[in-house]
Amino acid sequence: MNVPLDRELIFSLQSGDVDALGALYDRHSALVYRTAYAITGDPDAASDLLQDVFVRLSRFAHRVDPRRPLEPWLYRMTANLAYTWLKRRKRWLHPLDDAMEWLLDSARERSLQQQAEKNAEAEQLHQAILKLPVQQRVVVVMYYINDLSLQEIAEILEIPIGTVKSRLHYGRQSLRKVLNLDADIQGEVICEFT
Amino acid sequence: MNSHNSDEQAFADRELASLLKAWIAEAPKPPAEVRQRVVRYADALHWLPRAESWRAWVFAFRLLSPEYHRLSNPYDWITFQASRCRLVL
Repeated sequence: MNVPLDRELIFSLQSGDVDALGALYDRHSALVYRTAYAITGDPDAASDLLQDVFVRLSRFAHRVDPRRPLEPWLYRMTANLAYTWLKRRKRWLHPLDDAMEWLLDSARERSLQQQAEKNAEAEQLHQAILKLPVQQRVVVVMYYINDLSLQEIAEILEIPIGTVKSRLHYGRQSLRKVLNLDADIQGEVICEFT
Repeated sequence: MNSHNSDEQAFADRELASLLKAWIAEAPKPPAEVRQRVVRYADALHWLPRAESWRAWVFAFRLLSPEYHRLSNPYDWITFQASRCRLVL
């Protein structure tokens, strides 16, 4: 049985075939979810963004060019929606987060003590990623997790390649520092990408 | 010295990449119902009436719906409610 290409599925979706959307979801949902989760650090938000991205793919299918690969469109939409989610969350939920943090502090302390140390590294990495400024985080996620090239990232985010390099450089530097990966590296040239 | 540093950096870079990949591989998976919701929304978009009348019963569901608070786009929520209404009707 022939597996339809993305191009064929997009044509079908444009003519109103909902099954084509299901097939595209099966094919690409993992990359959208992975990207959304890595940027937001929140599984519920990542599920909502996953849903939003594919609902938008259906709504705006007529604007998608079937002759071009679909992944860059999905990455761009995921990054844009994740930016919006983070901005909205910052605006509305930070005061609530602070209060919850204060209330949950003692409970969390107990729970952390009980947690096995096997998760310590993953948690440290998770926290390190979430501490990156969002623009650096998006580039780091696309480069290291999604294996996109600098050129591809620049095209997806519609920014100059030099900006991608510099965001990646600073993001990478912060992560290495937190994770103690560059203890032996000396004299790294900060302006190498300018 | 420069070449030594660049080797070290490349090594650290690879290590960082493998740590990040291992971390994301352990990440939670999306719930299966997301696919179902996406397909249902898309279906709703094709039949959703454009007349004013549907708004009344859509808004009637608004306060009752827990999903409303979990969706970032009210339009998507409305189409979801509309598809739910169609199922009920």
